[in-house]
Amino acid sequence: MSWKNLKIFAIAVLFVMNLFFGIEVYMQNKRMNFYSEKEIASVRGLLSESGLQIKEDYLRAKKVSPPAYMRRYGDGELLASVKSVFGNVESDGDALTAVSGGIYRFGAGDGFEYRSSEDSPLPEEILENGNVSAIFMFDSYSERLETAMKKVMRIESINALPQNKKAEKTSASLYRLYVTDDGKYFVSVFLQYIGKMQTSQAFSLVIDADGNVVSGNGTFSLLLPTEKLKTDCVDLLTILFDEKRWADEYFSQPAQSTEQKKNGLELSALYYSYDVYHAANGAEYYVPVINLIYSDGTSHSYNLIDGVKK
Amino acid sequence: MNENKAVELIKTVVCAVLLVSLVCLCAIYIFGFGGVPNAGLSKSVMAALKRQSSKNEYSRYFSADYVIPEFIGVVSSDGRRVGAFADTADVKVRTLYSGFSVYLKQTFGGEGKVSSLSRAEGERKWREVLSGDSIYMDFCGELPRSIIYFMTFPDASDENVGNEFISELAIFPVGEPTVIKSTDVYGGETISKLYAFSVLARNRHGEYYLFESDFVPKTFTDVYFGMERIFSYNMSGMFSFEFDYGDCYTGMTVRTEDLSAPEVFITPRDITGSEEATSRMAEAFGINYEKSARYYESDGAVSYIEEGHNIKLYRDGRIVYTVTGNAGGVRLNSGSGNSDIYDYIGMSIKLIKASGAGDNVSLRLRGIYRNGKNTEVVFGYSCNNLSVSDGDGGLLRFEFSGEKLVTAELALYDMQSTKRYAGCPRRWYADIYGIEQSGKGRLIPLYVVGDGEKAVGASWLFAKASEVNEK
Repeated sequence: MSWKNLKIFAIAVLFVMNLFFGIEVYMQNKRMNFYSEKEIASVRGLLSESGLQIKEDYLRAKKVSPPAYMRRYGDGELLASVKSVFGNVESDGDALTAVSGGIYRFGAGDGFEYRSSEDSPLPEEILENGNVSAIFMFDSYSERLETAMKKVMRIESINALPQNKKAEKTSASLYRLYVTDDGKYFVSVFLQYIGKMQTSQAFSLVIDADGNVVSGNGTFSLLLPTEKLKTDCVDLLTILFDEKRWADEYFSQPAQSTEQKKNGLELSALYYSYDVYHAANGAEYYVPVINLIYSDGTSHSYNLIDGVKK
Repeated sequence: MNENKAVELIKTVVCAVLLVSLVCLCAIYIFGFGGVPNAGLSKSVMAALKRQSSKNEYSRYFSADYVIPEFIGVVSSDGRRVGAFADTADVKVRTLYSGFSVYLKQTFGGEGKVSSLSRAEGERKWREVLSGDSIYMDFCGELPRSIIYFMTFPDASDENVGNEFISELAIFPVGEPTVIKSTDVYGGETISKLYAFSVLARNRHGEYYLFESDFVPKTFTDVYFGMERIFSYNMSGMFSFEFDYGDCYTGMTVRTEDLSAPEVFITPRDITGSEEATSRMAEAFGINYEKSARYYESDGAVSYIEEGHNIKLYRDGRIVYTVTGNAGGVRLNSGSGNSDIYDYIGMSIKLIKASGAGDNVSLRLRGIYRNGKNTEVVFGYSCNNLSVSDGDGGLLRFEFSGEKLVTAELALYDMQSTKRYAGCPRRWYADIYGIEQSGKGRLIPLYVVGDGEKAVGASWLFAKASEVNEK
């Protein structure tokens, strides 16, 4: 065989091998990361027997492994950040106090408290009085309340901190809303976001009818996570079979009517978020969590690292 | 001709591209699906994180000091026994504990092997271990293994660390040694023997546990048994001691020349007359001082009563908090919803500090006990490095049920020690403080010098001030 023909032969052989391995890699990837139609149908059937209706789309991906995040910082770095964002800071035992358009106190575990004046009522004081109503359709309020929140929480200054340079930007979004019966105050519950991911850091603000923040407290990370950690998250199927066990028990309770049992529950939302854990060495971990919300409002969350239901 | 060359060149490039592509696909196939990614946040880190996060709210109330033994002694098979009390040689014992805890890391951790011994077997083994080379530690009260472990090694991420209660332990070498030869600074040869170690532990209820590990210290900076069968650790400045194997806890004696007599003045703290102190105490337990109902008793005690709970303040410094219904009770906020022993200890310290009970005194964790389904956390005081307690009962007792504090009994005292003393045996000042319900008093040591060089029969006497002979 001439050298020219040998090249053509080599190209043909290599092409076939490439094609074979290409298809094999594709199939293997599909096998590892996605369930087959048959498996999906089988899982849906099993869940359906327990009264859980789950759309195919939710079952497509076998395993999603969002990264975890970590941040380690000391008291000095927190002090510098608070000083940079809120101005003069005084250390008061375990807490840092800054007076800047109100009184801010930052304590352990990302806890904070804000009062526009010393005698401002805190959110729980207003909620405990009982003369409040929940507003469920709060879209029309969101913009105004979030503007007030951004101002008092100094979201832009926090994102601009040199210590947060390597971190994804933070924001907060309205999650729950209550209004006093006299319409004087809104108690707004916000969740902190890191990038597009919701976190378990939550805080409440009392905002008056004019859009001024009166007080607030809760947890909020000033120093955002900068270190990305690989994770080996639990399989979605493991979580769904845990849900199946729950559903079997739930629908076997006498309190459930025959109609409820017949209709079952439909999974209306499935999303990922982060729970914040504080390690003894001062590090803050953002651990991925999967959240399942059913048609009746029942909500379940699982830690994606150990698969334990919260 | 040129056209042919161009075709050949294209063929060569296509060949090369296909070859590279094939290599890449092979690499993806082999390494891409080969195994589990090396997770930065593994399940074991998650387990540690949950545990630490659970206690995080209370972490600032913790201090490793709470688990440092009250006494550490080193026993050599040739009869030498030297040791130190934390009450009087605090720094020394702290340093010793730090050095010796290297053995606890492996034996008490999740990878160690634990076995429970029968009382007879345990007693025999205890005597055998303390007759040979060993390190003896006596904790203040009884502590679960997990508390000793995780307070000593706060960054540890072990799972399955049990809650065996431990009041005393002995670390001892086992098996054949690894012989290490080295050259000293003068060029001479030195030989050291490094052993694997086990730990024999017991509590005051007669339960014995054996913790085993294959761990052998790797370097000369670790504590080890040298050729002379004595620890390499510097034990200078410590005193010789003897003890009864059966009851090391109270049966310890020290040579008389090492002894001196400390004095502690005790005054019950009556806070019923102070509005500030009373409101601080009541509000620490979630009772509104202003709005709660008050009930005055004939002996001067005052009760503050709210729905579901109440607190009673006695004039002799005793405080009793009781939950009477579902509405009451100080709740733990562990964050994870599952309270563990860390939360109970942390909450207790938080309450002691918030209520003012811990003002001007140091605290000693004396034990954590199961009381049916409830958990009791008991503290004593320490005044100028001198332990003051009420036997096993403790002076500050908290009882938790699930996520809730259900009872608390506090004894408030102002204490003052006139001097600092060195080398006092534990039996002189530990666990013998009998609470006198009335009047001021002070603790004075009484002891009898027995035969030979040992002091025996020592005890404390709680006496009213008027009865103390000021000779």
